[in-house]
Amino acid sequence: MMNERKLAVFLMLLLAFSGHVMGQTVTGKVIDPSGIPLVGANVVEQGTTYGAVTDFDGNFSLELSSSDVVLQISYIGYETKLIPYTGQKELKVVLPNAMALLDDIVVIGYGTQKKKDVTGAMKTIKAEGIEGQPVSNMASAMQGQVAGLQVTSSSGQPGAGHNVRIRGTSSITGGSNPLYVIDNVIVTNGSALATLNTSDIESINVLKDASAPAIYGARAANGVIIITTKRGKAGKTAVNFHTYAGVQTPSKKLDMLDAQGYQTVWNAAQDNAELERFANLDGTTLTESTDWQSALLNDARIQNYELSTTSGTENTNISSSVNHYQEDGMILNTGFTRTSVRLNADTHFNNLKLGNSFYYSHSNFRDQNVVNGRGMLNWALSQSPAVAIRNENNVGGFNGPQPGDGALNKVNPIAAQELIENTRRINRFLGNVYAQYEFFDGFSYKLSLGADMAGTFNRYFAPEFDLGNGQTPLSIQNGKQVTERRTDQSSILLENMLNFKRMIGKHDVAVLLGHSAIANETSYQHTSVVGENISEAFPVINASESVSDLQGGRSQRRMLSYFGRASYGYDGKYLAMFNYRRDGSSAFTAENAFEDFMSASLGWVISEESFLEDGFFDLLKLRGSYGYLGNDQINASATQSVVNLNSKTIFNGNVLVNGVSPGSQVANRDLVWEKQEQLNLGLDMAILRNRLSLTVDYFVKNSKDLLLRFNLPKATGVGAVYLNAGQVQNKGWEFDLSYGDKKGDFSYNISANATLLNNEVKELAYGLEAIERYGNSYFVPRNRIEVGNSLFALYGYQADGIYKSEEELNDGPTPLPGTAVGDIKYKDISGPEGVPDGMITNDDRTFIGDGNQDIIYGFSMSAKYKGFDCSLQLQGVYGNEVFNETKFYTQGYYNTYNMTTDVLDAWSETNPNSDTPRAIPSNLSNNDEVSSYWVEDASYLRLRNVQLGYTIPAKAVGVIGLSSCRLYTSAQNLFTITDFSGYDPESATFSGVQGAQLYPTPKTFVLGAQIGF
Amino acid sequence: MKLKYKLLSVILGSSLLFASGCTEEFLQDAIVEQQLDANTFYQSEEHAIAASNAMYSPLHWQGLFKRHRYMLDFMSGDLIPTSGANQLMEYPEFRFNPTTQNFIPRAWEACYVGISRANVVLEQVPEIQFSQETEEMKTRILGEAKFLRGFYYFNLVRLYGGVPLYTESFSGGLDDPMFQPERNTEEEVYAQIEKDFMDAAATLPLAYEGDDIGRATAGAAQAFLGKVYLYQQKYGEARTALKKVIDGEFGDYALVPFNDNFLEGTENNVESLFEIQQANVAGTNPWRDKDDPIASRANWVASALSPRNGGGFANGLPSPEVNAFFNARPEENAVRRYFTIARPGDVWANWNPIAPDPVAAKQWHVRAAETNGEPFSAVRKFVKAPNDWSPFNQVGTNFRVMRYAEVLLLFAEAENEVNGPTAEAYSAINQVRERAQVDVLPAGLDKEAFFERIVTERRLELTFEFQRFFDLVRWGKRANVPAIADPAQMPGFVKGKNEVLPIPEEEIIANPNLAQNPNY
Repeated sequence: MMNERKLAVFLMLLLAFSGHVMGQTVTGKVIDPSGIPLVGANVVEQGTTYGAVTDFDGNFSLELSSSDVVLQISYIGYETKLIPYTGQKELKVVLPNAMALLDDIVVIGYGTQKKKDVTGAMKTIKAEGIEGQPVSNMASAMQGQVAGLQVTSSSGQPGAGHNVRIRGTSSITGGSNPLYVIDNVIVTNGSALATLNTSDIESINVLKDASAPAIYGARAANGVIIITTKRGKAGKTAVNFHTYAGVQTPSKKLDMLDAQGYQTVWNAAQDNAELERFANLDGTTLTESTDWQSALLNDARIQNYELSTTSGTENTNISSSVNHYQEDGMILNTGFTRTSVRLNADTHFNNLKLGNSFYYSHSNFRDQNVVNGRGMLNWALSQSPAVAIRNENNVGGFNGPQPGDGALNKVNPIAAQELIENTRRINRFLGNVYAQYEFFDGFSYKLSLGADMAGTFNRYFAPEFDLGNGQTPLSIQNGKQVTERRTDQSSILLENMLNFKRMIGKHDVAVLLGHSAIANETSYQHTSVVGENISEAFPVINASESVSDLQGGRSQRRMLSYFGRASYGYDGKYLAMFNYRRDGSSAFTAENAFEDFMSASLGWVISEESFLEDGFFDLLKLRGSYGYLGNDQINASATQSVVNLNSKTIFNGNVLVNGVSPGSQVANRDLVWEKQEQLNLGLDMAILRNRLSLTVDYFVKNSKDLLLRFNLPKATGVGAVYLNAGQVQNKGWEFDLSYGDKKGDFSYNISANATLLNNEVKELAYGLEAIERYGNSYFVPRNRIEVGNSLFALYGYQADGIYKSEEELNDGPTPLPGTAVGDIKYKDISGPEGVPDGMITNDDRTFIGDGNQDIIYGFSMSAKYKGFDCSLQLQGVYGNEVFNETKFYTQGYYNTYNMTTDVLDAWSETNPNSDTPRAIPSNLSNNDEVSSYWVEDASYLRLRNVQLGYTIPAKAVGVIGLSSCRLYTSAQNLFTITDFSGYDPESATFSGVQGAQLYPTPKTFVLGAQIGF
Repeated sequence: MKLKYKLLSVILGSSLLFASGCTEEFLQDAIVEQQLDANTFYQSEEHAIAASNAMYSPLHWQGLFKRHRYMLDFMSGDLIPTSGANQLMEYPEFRFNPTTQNFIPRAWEACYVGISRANVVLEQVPEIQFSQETEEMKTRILGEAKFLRGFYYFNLVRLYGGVPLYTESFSGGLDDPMFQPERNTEEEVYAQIEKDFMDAAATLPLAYEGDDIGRATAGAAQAFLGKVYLYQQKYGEARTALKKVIDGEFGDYALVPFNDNFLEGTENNVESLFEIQQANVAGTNPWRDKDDPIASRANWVASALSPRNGGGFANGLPSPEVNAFFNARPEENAVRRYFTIARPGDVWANWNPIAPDPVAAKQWHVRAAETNGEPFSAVRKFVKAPNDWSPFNQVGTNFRVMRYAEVLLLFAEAENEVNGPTAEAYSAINQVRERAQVDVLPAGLDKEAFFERIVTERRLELTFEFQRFFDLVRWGKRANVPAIADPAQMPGFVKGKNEVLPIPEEEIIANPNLAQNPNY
């Protein structure tokens, strides 16, 4: 042996000498699959210390010890390649991306996990899933993509927020928003989403059950959404430019009456009420008709520009982006712009790793005005089409209803939007820095410091104007007003973590221990000047004579936590995880401040078992988790008695004196955390070589000790107390199905998800019979919370058609006083004895609908063929009802408002078969009671996004120095199928009651380009 | 290697340092709002004064004297609504029900908040150490608390009947027996009111100086005590109590020129026993109610009823019925009709005169034309005048709740019920008539005739001071109810139901033990 070997060496040396091998150098280039050179890749002669590092162009040159060697080429983020040296002069090495591997890593709280080891219910949306959607807010891009995730936008206003719920609403007064964690920073304010650039997002992981979220303890009850932004990748230097521009158009307009129709309808209403007709509606003065809706609602532009770079070496990587987004609103003079910069960097030397994520954004909102709680579109719908918009003779140049036109107290929305400045600016910084030290392989310590800061500046300036009718044009102030409000929010987060991870034989063990402290502070200052005190030339606060209102305040909130996680896996078959967090919050008294939260989860990967090795199942996994989480989204002072410093009064005719009284909220020192117990059972399955995958989850989420801001009887003299008031259960099923395949150049993917959700109030504490909500100055509370019903059950009279004859009116139960033929007929449901009493009274109010969405679903499809790609996303909800306030205000004969053409079919003696109530002013009939007549089914199916793209072949763009170029067109909200008669079935959110600040969802069409340099 | 460990120890050390600082004190030290803790308040004289001021604040809320008070005259029929009163259209002709918004729930709340603040003062202030010189102030503050508690309950009992009686502050716990109490009887409530006014009359000063003017006086307490007796038909006690005011035992009160009772420049004059101190100095926003930091503390009624084109809203106009009442007494045109109801031809500041068609002349708001064919007329008493340029709903004219003229009329009524139309009764009513420049009452009236004269006189003197609904309901309980004193004359009035408002529905939901008023 020895001799043979020696001989071989000798022969080789001989060969080497003969071929000048010794000292021979091999040169080459290391690139990634897309042809980009890898800088700093290691090229080593295997088994020796001979090695080289690639230069800036990916080139290397290495002197070899012999000619029969194997080269090992490695690079972080790429698969290591072994290449036997066979005398090649020039080596070209393509390192395959290790991304395929990384893709299977999911980000959970304070760490990551291999997807196949996951035992909880979660779903990750990757960048591709939200790319190319022309939306300002990441939340709307998530719509319909995750089973169990409800996203609704109550307004189409640019930059408007969304309501996001994971597995239903489980709190009454406490917040129900999920916890957002952006690059390890806990963000408490959901509005962060509007200030975040969607394209910066690498992945969004939605944690739905109790298992992984338990590491966030008291904040996790509503689920956790972990957002990771893009980070640099070693070796890749890429510069990308992305832009799109397009137009938004109202997805719907209501069919309003023109001046002639308005005249006909209101004359009929006045006649039926035996009131004098409005003088200007006698048919002689109408010359033209004003379309207020169209005057206010117009097409608007949207544009986005973004430049991002990523680069890195093996030790350091950097990713940065700058973005400018601009969206004009469809309502006149509304809009949103955002400019943001991001810088993420990581570097390590020896065992120390340092890094940061910095994000800064500057957002400007021009909001629609809101007068008396109603938005401008609501006011546009109210205005008479017989009234002109403008009148040059009035200060400001606008017109209003004149005597003889009907009610005068209507806001001219065009005047308000043109004359009034109503802006909001948010400067937001979100970031963290960390240092991580690895003591030995698998054991490390990490220190992380995060910050979330937001400064908001609101400015409102209304100049003096009038509408020529003696009315205050905004029904609030006479004359001018300047208001400025500054709000400052900061949240500082410090975390220490010890992490241990080790594979010992077939035992995969990981342990995490951590400590966290958060300090939040909010402060504000509000200043207002009115009337003559405002400087003519400079309508700003500091040029004003004196200040009318000056307010300020500050509140803090702190949290101190200890947490840990242990996970164990055996041979990839048996998985277990335990999460724990002990949280203390300043919102509670010292006795109740701390609470322990935890979860346990188990998984069994059946497909790894020998008895299933026949290979039908690529994956078959059973999961189960059970956990106990908290919700602390309550008023920071819920357990405190605060005094009211505003109980001012006046003496001596005009001397204002300060008064101090007990606050309207009394302390409940016994208040404890809102808690939640959640059980989740899940199944993951993949067959047909992973082409078809299915995930099914069943969950039962019991929320207990629900925090309720309970309105005390007014007679107590104090307004409210926070109580732990009851129990709500959300339970349901989630299905997630996906099929993808590739045939030659054609690849496609189809996925669908559905959630069945049942929401039920299980218990109300303190013997409360019911809690009523959502009343206002016109309507009594429309939502009644009662055991056995959903949290969003609508309550009122049951409408049963309309009275069509005197006989019908006289024969049935005694109607409400003043009811006449042609009015809505209400059902006699009950009476003082609990049985129908032949009279329509308050006792006949009953459940008339449910705002809970019974089924939410989504469908998406994408396909690629050579350079072409296309995708579409559908999203829908089913089984929720809404009290449609728009219907009331546009069909209810309220205050001489304009109405939709539906009312032309009103019942009358000459139209006796109609089911539309007669023409009668709302306050003179009982048709304005809260009843099922105004409740509508708000189910819908919407084509959320459709996209078509073409990637120009690399060769073609290479000619002009580009590395890639994709052109695409994308449309948002192309169509909606619904029976809902208002602008948008989504606008009622989850509550079942539609708000009064309408802003329809836009239909958006854009053209875009993604260019790589 | 060494560097590595140094770095490590620094990181670990600093984070441990932080962790050790993160004890539970870290949580306890968080500042909650920029407000004081109720446990640390009520410590000093200043605190006592501030707490006493807060008791007056609900008087400025919409449900009491800032805004909705004129619903009482929609109910009495003295005011008819115009299109501007849209939101409040359920009050004319008693169309309201327990779910009706505005006046019904807001008056209830304002009164009870006032009561709870008075209760807190009565519990906390006695514990506060005052200096010897200021011990008097402590007595005064407690007297004010008694007065205001009585005043708020007097409003409650007249508006809603027997209501739950809170004489201690509510603890906040749901185990507090007063969390969901049943109603007390009207008698029990009145007994408490009498006691409070009696205590207040015994301890309050007769008058104030400087910036304390406007606080409750002994005279106010005594006059209200008399009025409260009269509401219970306790005529003897009423007579005695009111006579003491007239006899000057509670300070010197006198009649002033009639219109001085309704102007801003002549507030807190010698005729006034108690008035709501209203001004446009506070917040900017009249829509904001209660103790909202920017809520105004002005007199919105003065804008709501004013006919002025610009700043006035003419939400209510004098009814044809009240016009006819004054028209039948042309002698009142000189003073009381003139300063109560404005009509074309009258002089009112720079409307000299009010035009024959003041709407066409752009003097009056267009709504002032909604008279159903009746001649033009508008409310003048207390309302925003043509020369008043205060901003929207920001009129500063104090609303006079108790003035000496009413004391005289209350006394005359009580005296007549006890002793018949004595010289004293005649004298009291005639002082009021003489000030109004009308003839004194004819001699020789019998008791019932004299009563009817009082009924008429109260209307002449107090129209649009929102007393008529209460008066008619009160007279409806008299042994003999002449037609002019019958509450059934109020349009839409249902006997056995509309003597009181319904208890707000939301209150009954919050307290299921609360019985609704009959027939609501």
